[in-house]
Amino acid sequence: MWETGLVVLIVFAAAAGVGYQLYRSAAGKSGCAGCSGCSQAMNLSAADSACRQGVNPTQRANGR
Amino acid sequence: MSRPVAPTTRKTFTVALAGNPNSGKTTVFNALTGAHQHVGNYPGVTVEKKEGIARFQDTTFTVVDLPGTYSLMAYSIEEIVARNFLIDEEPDAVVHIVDASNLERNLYLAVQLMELGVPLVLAMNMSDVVRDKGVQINYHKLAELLGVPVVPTVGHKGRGIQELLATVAEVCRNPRARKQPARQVNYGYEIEPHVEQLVKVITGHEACADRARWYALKLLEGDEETAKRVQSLCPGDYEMILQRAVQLRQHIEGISGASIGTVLADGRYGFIVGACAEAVSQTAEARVSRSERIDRMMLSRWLGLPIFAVLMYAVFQLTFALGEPLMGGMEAVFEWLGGTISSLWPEGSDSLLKSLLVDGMIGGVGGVLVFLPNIMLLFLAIAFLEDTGYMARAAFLMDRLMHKIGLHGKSFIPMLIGFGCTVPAVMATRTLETRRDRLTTILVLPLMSCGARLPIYMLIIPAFFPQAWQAPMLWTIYIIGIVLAVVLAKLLRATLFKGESVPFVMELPPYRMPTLRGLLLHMWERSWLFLRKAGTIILGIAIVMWALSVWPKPGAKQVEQFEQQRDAVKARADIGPEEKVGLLGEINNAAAEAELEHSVIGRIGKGVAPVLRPLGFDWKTSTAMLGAFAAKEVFVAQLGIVYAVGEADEASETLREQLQANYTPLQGFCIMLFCLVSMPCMATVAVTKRETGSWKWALFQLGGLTLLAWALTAVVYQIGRLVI
Repeated sequence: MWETGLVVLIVFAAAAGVGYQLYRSAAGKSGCAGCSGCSQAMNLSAADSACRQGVNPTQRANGR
Repeated sequence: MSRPVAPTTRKTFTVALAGNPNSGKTTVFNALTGAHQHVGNYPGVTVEKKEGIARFQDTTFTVVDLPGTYSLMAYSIEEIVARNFLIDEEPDAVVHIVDASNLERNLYLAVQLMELGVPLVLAMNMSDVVRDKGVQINYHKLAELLGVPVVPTVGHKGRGIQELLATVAEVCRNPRARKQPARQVNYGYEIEPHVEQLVKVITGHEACADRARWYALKLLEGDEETAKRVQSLCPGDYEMILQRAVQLRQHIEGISGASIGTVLADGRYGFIVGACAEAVSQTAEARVSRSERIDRMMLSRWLGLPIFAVLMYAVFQLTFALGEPLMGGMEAVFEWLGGTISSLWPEGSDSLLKSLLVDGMIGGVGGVLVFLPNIMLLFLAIAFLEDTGYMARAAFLMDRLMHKIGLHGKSFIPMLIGFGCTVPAVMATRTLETRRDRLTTILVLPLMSCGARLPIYMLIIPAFFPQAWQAPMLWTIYIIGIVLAVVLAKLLRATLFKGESVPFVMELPPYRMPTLRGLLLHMWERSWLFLRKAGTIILGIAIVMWALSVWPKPGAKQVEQFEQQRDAVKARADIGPEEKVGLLGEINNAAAEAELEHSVIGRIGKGVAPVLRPLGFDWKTSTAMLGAFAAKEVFVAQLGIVYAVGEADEASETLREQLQANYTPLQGFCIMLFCLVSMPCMATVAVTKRETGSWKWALFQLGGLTLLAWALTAVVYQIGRLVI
């Protein structure tokens, strides 16, 4: 019984997390689903570097 | 800075003549001023200062002949004098006398003058010598590319002098009335974010704001003269600005493995080489550099594209050849992990938690993660091509190809980014000047095969195609995407978005040997994104998909039917124990399959399947296609779950083996084709809506690409069935 309860809990937590991420993505609050929010015009490595350096995504719009 | 922004009614202006030594500057100065000259010294130094008067119509120019310099680096006293004059005296126009027969080296100073932000006119001197050498310079195109007026002159014969004066008068009267602003060198994604950071800090100080980018670049270069100037302009924050510049310089030098001066000079020369490649039909340089020699082959009209195709093929071959054993290792790890977790429960247990862990998490996320070695190898190879400078050549080649079909090369930059991820690529279209260029590019960007689709190809290709065909197949998929994007873009430009393109310089930095640290860092940054996505959104979706695959459970009647079948087999006396085990296994698999079909996923899949049946898809692949709308990798995770849940045997085969057993190579190819062309992921739709400002274009892209994918895949599948 506890197993079923735990599984249901995990599934709901995952659904909430996915829903939140997809909402952020659809609302334009983050770029890719799963991305921590750096939605600027950068290639992947630049975007990731900027994320890790804490650069505010709205600070730049240079895409190259 | 008090440069006028509106047309002025003044009749007298100050004009500075800049140029390399021996560029014919003095000859042009004499041609402009005639006998109206006087000679003195710049204040505090023994550098000769020549001034003269030139007249054009009712306008009088005080022409100052600056010392001849190769750059504005402040290495010599002449350079410092020239630079200080330009910054402190703020002439109304700067005429850069360019030795057109030595164009690339002379333009280095022009690029620095553009960075300094002075109102610039380029006088292409010795244009007769250039012509005599059989070299053709398209001055109009060069002016468009650089964003500054260009006038051909022959100083010693006085040719072009009146045209030069007319252009200078125009710039002086209305310095902002140029057709386009002077363009800036883009130093690439490794440097630009740091330059921008520094610019932002400097822009906070009004006294430095107008030349913030110039100051930022010079501080990064460690220019002491500029440091002194910034100290006097913003004494309060000087230490902070300087410290930031030093940190960023160290970071850039660490990444690139070269001094900051070399890195920035490479960027400037890249810009110049790109402009000359567009505007000069034959290089005027007598000196043939290593990069130029390589480029003669790499950018050759006939060999360029085949070399690009062969290099991409080699990259994919490497990905499969080296990645295969590593992928096998990853599969073994996840099989072991699944087996270990399963062993925590008694054999045959129908525990939900076990199913969640083994079928949902390991079957789903593990199915995506096994491709990590291939993806890391691919990223390593791409990082190598980028860091050596070859990717810029690939972009240049595509630029030339795109010009031929009426598109603009600048669109290819977002497309290159699109090979990583479509979302930042859509945002990169902000660099395109016209809305029609932006919309065209945005609409076709999802056809660039993004990194999220790689796990799909990595799953399908080895499952259906022999080793020798694997790299060509991946290559073919990428090429199909590029060709479709180009054709669609051409179609859109010929119908919905007619119009001319604006000019653009494609930087061609010199080739360099990449550092191991830089390569590994780039590979890791991208791989980390993949891992993070797998560990967050893909894991979450896998769990939700698993839940939808196991609930609701079938009714008691159906369960009882399977139970009766099992009892009947157990009761049979005419077959041996081994045969009984086999039959029971078949019944168990049938029961698991029936459970899956009864679940939410099964019902959705069955509902959608008729639409996708002409493409060769069954209901299982159909549900995976729907899941891929959230994120493309979910396709693999979803198939992993469906086949794990729908298989009662705990020691089941790998997902690839199951695909081999259930589908044909033609179906495998059609799955890849549909995934390549069909609806982009949700994040792409959202960002398209945001960047175009309208749901209309986002839905047009979503619907259009999905329809195209359906039609294309249906044609391929139906014809393929007839042929194969």
